[in-house]
Amino acid sequence: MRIPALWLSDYLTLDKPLRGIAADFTTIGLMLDKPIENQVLDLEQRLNRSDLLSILGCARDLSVFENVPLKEPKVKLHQARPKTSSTAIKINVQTPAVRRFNTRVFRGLTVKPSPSWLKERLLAYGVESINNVVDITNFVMLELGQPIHAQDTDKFMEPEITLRPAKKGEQLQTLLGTTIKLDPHVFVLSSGDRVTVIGGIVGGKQTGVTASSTNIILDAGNYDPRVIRTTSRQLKILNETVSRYDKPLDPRLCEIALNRATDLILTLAGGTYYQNIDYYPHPVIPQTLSLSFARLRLVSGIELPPKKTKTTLQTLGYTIIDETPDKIIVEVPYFRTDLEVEDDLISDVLRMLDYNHLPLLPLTSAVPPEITSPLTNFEDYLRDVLVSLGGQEHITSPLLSASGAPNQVKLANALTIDQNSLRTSILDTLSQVPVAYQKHALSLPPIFELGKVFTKKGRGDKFSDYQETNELGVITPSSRDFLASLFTRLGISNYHLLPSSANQVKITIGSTTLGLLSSNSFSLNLSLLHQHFHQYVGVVTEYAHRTSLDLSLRLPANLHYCDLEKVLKKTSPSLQSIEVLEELQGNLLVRLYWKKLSSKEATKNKITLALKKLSITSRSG
Amino acid sequence: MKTTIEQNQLAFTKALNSATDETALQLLKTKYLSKKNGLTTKLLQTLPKLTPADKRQFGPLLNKLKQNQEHALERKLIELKKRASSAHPDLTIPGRAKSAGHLHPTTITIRELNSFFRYHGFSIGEGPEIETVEYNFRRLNLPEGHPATDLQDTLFVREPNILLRTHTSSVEARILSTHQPPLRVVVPGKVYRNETTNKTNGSFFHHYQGLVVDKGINICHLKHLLTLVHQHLFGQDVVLRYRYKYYPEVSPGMGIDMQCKFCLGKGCEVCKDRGWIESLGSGMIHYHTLKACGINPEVYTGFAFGMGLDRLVMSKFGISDIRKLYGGELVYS
Repeated sequence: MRIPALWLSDYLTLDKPLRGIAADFTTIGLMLDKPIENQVLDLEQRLNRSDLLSILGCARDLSVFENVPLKEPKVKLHQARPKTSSTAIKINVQTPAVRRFNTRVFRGLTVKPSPSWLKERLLAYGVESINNVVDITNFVMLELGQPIHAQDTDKFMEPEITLRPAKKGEQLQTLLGTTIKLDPHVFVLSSGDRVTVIGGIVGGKQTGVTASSTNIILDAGNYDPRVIRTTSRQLKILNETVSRYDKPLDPRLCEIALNRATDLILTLAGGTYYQNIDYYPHPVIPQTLSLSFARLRLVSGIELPPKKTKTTLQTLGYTIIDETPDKIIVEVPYFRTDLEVEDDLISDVLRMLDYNHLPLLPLTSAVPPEITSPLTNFEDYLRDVLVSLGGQEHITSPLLSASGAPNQVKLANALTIDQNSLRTSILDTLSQVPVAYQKHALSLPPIFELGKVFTKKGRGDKFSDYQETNELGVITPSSRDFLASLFTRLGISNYHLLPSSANQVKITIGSTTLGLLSSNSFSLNLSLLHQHFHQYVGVVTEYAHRTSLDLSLRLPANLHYCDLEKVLKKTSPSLQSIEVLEELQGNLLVRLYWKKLSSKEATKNKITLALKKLSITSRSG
Repeated sequence: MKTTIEQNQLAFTKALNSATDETALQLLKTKYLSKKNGLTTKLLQTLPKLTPADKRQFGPLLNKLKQNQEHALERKLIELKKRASSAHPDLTIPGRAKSAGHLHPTTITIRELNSFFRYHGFSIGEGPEIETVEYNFRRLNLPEGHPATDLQDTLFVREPNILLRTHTSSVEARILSTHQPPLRVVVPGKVYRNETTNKTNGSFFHHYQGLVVDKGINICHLKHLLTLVHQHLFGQDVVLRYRYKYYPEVSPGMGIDMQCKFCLGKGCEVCKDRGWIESLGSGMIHYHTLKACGINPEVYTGFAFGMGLDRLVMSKFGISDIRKLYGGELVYS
């Protein structure tokens, strides 16, 4: 929201530099967004308050915060002439998006340049001056926050305005000269079946008020903000009108804005004003809210004198309609459409008190029970283990381009095709990292990532169709050694690598597959890994006194090491562990360990015999 | 006999001290300890011929002599090898660093925050990244048609109900819906938005969320805790500003800014002339949010806060482009 200092000074007098005023606005919720230029404040307005898109609304809050009086504009209420058959413009509303459509007819105006005070204010805000009538509509919108709109009735095909959904193929040339194609999602104002305005968004050139206009219809509408939002996004039109209709406006504001505009038109353009239709089928009932002082104490943490609380609310525009020693009941002013609950009144009170004046109170309640999941703690531990093994952690975006796999989760509205799906394996996205090391001419250390992978089952209509799995991915040229080191540190010794595909093996414990390993990477399911992890391992407490036996053997092409392992374990159930000391093109040097072995020779013979059955030649036997 | 032993030892020590290489050591070993003609071996060989009394006296001495000489030779050998390998190193030359394990900057920052909050009695929460509109918006007092639920900001998996969470507040909604107070939880997590990627914004980034719900929680508790967090992260001398800020899921809402360290609040390029840098958003959890999650807002109150982590990480590590952080372009020294 832009606030020219000149315009703001119409409503309150503050002996303060503009930077100080900007700081005040920031404190009460309107943060200075851009550097101050040409004596204009540019404030970020992210509140759900339409009145803070009006200069008067901003001035009101500031006046309460600074405790100075607000000078509201003096509006003279003019007596309207009753409508006649020659002045009446019929209003037909055929869309539920319209909540109020208030109109007034003016005849015999003199359209001419605006006086300098009006031009200066619009110019300071950044709006071009067109003529007195158009300028007045803009001025009133910026002052009060209610968009109003004037059309030249002499340019109407028929003396009527219909508010209806647009027909497919209809077009409108806007005041700025661009042509917009319309469809039934958009509601329009038409006259004699010719579209003149896109409702709540932009007016057309054909019925615009120009220097030659003398007879006009002025309207102030109140529409469903959701319709305006959807339509403006669809048509890609964002302007001052749209931004004001984007936040909820009270229909009562229509009348107030028209009164202000009428006074200005009659003063600056002359002419006569006639009653016309005010379409307003469901007048709003003023909102009331109660505020208990106990709740105020609870939420604010401080004791606020009820008198001060009441004064703050009253100066903000609330009317106290009832009160007891414990609470007050207030009527919410028409310009505040944002209030939902009692705490919102407390917000207003504390906002005007200034948060910087609130004390700091330490939490004194007892520490609640711990609810951190064991998996979260495990992941943290695992990161440390991986780093101790020389691993460098990376985090990559899980978004990538679709692979075509049926179980991949695809996005419905992705902006780019390179980010239109979610990864199904952590290695899908981690695999882009080694290139960066190459670019920096660095040798690749072991790299790892912990994160989620996503899969879909079925049609994907239900939330339960989507599955998220926590995974660890590691990329390193010595993937088997890194896995072995990792498992040693995690106290896992009973794992096996079993053939899965040409380039990959399964990492298994018992009948559970924990992940997949290839020659330069592996991935592991973290929940499964967590189930097999032992934290208190790795300390050697006694001498080993192991018996060992070395075997040098050659595996036939159709056999894997895992087959050999199975046979060795079967022949000697007391076998403690096996270590592959060397491997070279099917030739293996294997060392077997036993804690105690009664007869080494007998065992050796048994093993040699079993190996022979598998056509494995042992060269050490 | 005693003199002979002493002389043997004396001569051995002298020869050992003057030995400067492995060959000299080997010769010395042969001279004294060879199985046939070693001087010490020969002395030992005389043992059986001695009288029982002499045996008792000199036996242990002779055995010890042999043992000592063996050990001395081994020690000298190790010493010589060491000397040979390091051959007068110039210790003023600095060593060369090897690449070591490294945590991601975001993990380091999350841990820094987690350690603070764990100390203050918080648990670490977690929740799904694929979310429902119910938890991402509705239970957080964001009704249908609210500007914040705008299609343009949200990445949908299946319109209109399944999406990628746009904030970690969705986890807040889940925790509030599944646990009864008292609660103190922080949630570090990944979030997604439908935004074009540039230097400072990506479609994927990190949030850090926190919440406290209990009897008697007020906005001054929030202010105190967040002041401590800032002091923990930026030092005791950090200057903070507290201001009203609107978020649909809280009321009253509160924003916190830090005074710009470059201009000390006067306004400069870094802070876009504001003098202050936005730090985080927070507030008292909305009455409707607590209610929607099954917690009685008349009995319990609470606060929540949330911040984007990535800018904090980038400023701490001197990274100027968010794409470096998560685009696979990060490497470690």
